[in-house]
Amino acid sequence: MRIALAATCIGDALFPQAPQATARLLERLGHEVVFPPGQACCGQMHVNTGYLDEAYPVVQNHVRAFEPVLDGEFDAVVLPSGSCTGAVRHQQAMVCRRAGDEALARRADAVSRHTYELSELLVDVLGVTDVGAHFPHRVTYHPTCHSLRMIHVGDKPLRLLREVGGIDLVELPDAESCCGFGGTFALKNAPTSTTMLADKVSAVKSTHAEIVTAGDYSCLMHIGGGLSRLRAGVRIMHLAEILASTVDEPVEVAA
Amino acid sequence: MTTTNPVFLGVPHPREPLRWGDPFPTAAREALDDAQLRRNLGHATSTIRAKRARVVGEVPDWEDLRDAGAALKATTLAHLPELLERLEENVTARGGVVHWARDAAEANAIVTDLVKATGADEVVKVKSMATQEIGLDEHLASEGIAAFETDLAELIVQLADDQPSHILVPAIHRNRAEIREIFLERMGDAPAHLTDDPAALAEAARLHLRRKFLSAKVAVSGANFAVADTGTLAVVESEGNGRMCLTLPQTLITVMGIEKLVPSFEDLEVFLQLLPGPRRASA
Repeated sequence: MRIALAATCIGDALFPQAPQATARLLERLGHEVVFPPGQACCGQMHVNTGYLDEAYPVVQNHVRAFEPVLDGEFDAVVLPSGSCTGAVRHQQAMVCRRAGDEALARRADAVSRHTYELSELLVDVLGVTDVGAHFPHRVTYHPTCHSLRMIHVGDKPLRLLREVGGIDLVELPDAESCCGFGGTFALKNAPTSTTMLADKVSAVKSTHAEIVTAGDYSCLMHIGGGLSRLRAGVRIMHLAEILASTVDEPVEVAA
Repeated sequence: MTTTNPVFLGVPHPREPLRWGDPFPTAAREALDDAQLRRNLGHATSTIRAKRARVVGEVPDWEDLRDAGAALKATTLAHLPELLERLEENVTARGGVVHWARDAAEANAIVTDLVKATGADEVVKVKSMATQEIGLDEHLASEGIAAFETDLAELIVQLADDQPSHILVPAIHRNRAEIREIFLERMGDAPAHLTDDPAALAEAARLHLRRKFLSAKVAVSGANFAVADTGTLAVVESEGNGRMCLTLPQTLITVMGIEKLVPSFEDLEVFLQLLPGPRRASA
């Protein structure tokens, strides 16, 4: 398969290891990964904070970058993020219709039907759960809100993690509780956000895991912020990084 | 073991029910420091979540039902004007009277006039978010009419001069020791040796409320659903207080938002499976 990678803003600016690992993983599985030039934000941050008019040109740019999928230039678009996938699927067409651009709304919808979050692409499209990964560490998985409640990835990430060689996968108590990030919620309501984070960090620590993983680096950034301030000795890692790790090319866990 | 100077630390009644108090971030900063509140909420929330998961697990097509409910609501909103007129027609045909209010002030004035026309100076109420939002109890009080909440949790909140803290579980911020204190200090007819056993607290409330039900001439309810095709109004409850309010008093005034509508009686089939699940978990 020829798969187009959307890096996401947070992957581009803060955590390039997620899109890099996604590319490494897919290439190892025998697929060709292309990186469409001109790609930027999907518009999620604008929409979530109420800037729907401002989101319109951003969506326009996203559709322009990835619509070659409609002509068969590539077979699918992958996003290493549940919330960005949710934005593509549930926000982009709405933004276009609000701006009175029905034609773009239809193109956005069409592109979104070929767009997948990483675990969806692997399990649903490529039909694989054992990706040949090796990661001999104690790991716990946090299902992020948008991956769970907006795009419904269900247990796909866990099915992928269970097949990883050498992994010691431990269940996270109250896993489905929000970590408290919520985008700008963490800035606008910092006391409430950090209170929710305290519960999440306690749950993570109770598992004695070395690594907490998730499908979104935004939530991981928040959880990692809490863990690092406690000197908890627990590291954050994107699902893609764990799945990209092999016996021959292990992902470095030391900070 | 009564304190001489009880302080319930309730939230004072707002002048404007939807715009009051500190902004959320400021209010939250203060509330987050309340260890008792955090403990009460943490305990209640984890209990309710576990129960909800169990109840929802009993329904095999839960997610399909939710999608069906969302689709029904979307369809209803798309045809709201004609459905509302159909509801009015059918309620009227069955002997009811429909009043239209544009805002909280109009709704409060209509209810007040209806109560005054009966000559009553007190009403019993079944839990209603609509009347909470329009500040009906406070408005009635300013007109010399006492409104008695009959839902157990709303009763606790009302007796403590407090504000409800949760849509489904209005007294989720109170533990049973606090509820016992509130009943002893404010109920007027609580047994002197009342314990904080949940069954004893419920029994004290039941006896207190039974006297109100038997004397009330007017009841005020909200509505969970209104069926346009039949003129049916539906209130879902789990304590028996709803049935008492809806059947004992001679006059029933229902305050409902226009979005509570469903087109046909069969549509209730979806919502009456969806609504009681999570609600049962909070009981």
